[in-house]
Amino acid sequence: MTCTEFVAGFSDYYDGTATEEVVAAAEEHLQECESCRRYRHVVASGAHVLRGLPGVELREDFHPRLRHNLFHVDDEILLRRHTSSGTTVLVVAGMATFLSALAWSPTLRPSAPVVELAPIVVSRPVAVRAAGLGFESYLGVATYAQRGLWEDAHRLFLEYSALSRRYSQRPTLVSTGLEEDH
Amino acid sequence: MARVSAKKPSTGSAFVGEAAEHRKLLSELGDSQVVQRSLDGDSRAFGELVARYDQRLLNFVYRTIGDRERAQDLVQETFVRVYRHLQRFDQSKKFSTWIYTIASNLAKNELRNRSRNPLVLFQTIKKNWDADHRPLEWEDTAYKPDDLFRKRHLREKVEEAVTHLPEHHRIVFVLRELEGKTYEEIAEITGCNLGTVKSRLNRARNNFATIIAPMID
Repeated sequence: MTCTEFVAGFSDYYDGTATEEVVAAAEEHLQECESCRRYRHVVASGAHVLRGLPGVELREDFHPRLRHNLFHVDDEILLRRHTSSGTTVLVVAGMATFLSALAWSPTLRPSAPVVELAPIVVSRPVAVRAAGLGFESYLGVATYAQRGLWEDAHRLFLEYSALSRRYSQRPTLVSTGLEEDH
Repeated sequence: MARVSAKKPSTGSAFVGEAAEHRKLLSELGDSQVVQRSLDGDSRAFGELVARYDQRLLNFVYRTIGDRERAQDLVQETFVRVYRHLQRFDQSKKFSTWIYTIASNLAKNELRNRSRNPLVLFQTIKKNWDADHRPLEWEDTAYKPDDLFRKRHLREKVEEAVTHLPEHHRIVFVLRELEGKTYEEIAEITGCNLGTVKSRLNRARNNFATIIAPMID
């Protein structure tokens, strides 16, 4: 056996999974080879030190935390069982059917009776020639046109007043000059 | 909890005595029997499984990922998964292999996520740096300071050698050297074939020996 063969099959030899022939050949090689003896010693010593290293301590809250987490798992499982049970499915399906029937009920009812009304005849409003403006207008709007749009323009200035005074002023301020004369 | 014992709880010292007796009985059972009891609704059975594996899994995950705090979280997660999926466990197989497979997968995911997150990597390095600066512990007065230093240095180098192994070699190495798993069990836990396990273990031992050789007489 060569050194390369020994190192390549070292794990089988070291862990006791090699065949008797391989073990015998490895032992024979070890008697002759100093570096392979050293290799086996280093691996064995290193593994020994590794096994002797202090382990990690569990945190104090490890078990309470785990209990808490498992409680949540139980909760989840119970919830899933409830939601997947046949009764619940039937109840949910029933409620869904009822609600959708309720929502669609206006369209399911027979349609409302059609009542025929007599046609409404509207007469054409009286056209008035707006004074001074040279266009025809309908009654109502014409009153402004006839009166002259700018006649009460000076009253609009009353709208301008200081904000602080605006609410204390008399209702005359409401008069913008656009309302009809009484 | 859902897995509740069907027995009525007694009161006082009788209850304590009964609980202790129950725990003793559980501790004498094999893993698969304890699993069966847990599935049958024995609430203490899962506690027995936790007691059997918490420390072992913690050391395994810590040696694999190299972060104590995160290892605790991953072991918690392992037990939660075991609890959630216990009814899926194939009882013709070994429970220890199953639980180690779950822990190993979580550890692998952690390493994968960490490689994508530089902040976590930095925190791990910083933690190790802190550990390097702790004072020497005078464990045995018969030792001379240089012996103590050499011993500690060797331990550190051994720990470091393990962390320097490539991820897939490290898991195989830790499972064999620390947990004493057989090649078949390692193959099942890691999802590799026997040949791959042997080759990875051989390479891991080779790298390990190369790193620590200067410190070994």
